Amino acid sequence: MIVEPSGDRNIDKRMEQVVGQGPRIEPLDEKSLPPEAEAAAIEIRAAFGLPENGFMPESFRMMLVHPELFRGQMAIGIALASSAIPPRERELAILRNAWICGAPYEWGEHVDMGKKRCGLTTEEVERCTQGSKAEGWSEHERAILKGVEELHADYAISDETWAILARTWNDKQMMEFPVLVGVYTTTAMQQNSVRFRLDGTNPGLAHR
Amino acid sequence: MGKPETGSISIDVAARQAHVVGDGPRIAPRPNADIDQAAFDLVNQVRAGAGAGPTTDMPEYMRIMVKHRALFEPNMVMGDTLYNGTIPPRERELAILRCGLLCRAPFEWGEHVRIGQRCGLTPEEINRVRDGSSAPGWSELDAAVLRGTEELIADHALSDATWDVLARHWDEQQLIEFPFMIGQYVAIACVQNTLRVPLADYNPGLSSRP
Repeated sequence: MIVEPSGDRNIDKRMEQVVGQGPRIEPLDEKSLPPEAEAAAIEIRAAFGLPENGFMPESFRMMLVHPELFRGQMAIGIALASSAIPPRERELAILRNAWICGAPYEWGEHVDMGKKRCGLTTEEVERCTQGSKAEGWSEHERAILKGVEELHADYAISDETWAILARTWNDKQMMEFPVLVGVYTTTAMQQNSVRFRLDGTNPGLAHR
Repeated sequence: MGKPETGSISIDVAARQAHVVGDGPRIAPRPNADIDQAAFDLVNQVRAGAGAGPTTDMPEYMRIMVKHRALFEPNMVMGDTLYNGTIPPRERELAILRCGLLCRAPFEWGEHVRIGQRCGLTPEEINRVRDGSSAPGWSELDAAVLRGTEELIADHALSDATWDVLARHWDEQQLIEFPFMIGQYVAIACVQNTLRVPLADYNPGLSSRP
């Protein structure tokens, strides 16, 4: 089984490929949003503790092209925003996942989320690009990163990694872990394929 | 990032199934008797989408997932949304089968060998999924659906060439649904493999054939 190294990803090349000249699908016009759009945006901002400033990101207007799917995605996102896995550990997993997926939108958003809301340091963010092999992780944190790497390389978690995680996490957290990685892999695939434009302040894969 | 696997792949079925099914599950399922009607209703709704009848004996996979109720509900709703999605069932099942195989996922592959037949895939087509997008005999759209699945799993993105073919056949809702759907079935494969969900009696896993 190959574990993704990927500290050495070519950022510019990847950004050109999956953000490039902007979306492959036209976002809905701000003036012609379906009625559920505003309600969904308010719900999401509340779930993630974001300021209620009426901001409707372009990503929402893109996903609203398919309102049924958007509603479902948001329901899973909201459930994971109050995850059984502690926020700091959840964000470590999401960052490692976003890096392996080469997903600029997800990476940039969660560098902010991880640092501003979950206590991650710039150095830890940098270390997420190196993964489980980097120095400095606790045994449990290393197993989280290793688990993400194993799910990408082998679509399963090894006995060794499972055993370490299960020393700290309960059944609910153990079940949540592959779901969490799967959900953020799904998001990465959608963002990269549709070429979501980065929101103004999101520098993508260069963010630390 | 790996190159897309576009051809036939070799899997040591016995070794893989020992690894991802084994003597699992890693988390004990909740007994049917302890599961409320609302959860059964959700499961039966998803089953209907896959062309299966209602049940009073919930599959083990769902009896495990129901122990995390906050995630179980939106995941069941998403399953239902995709079974009633904008991508036609035959193409959806083609993609899921390739996904199950590339994720070396015995549960997913075996279940969808059955579901695929209900959705209009012929036995010959289901067997040909094993040979990937590069196999001769696919229509332009079928080949792009398979190729897209292979690209998403290897690179988490779709190439221009594949996107262009899909966009000639599909509208924007279908185009935005496709990468999402593949992600969701990769996620299901990861969860089932990781939890070592037992296979149903009728499902021999990766050696399933129509």
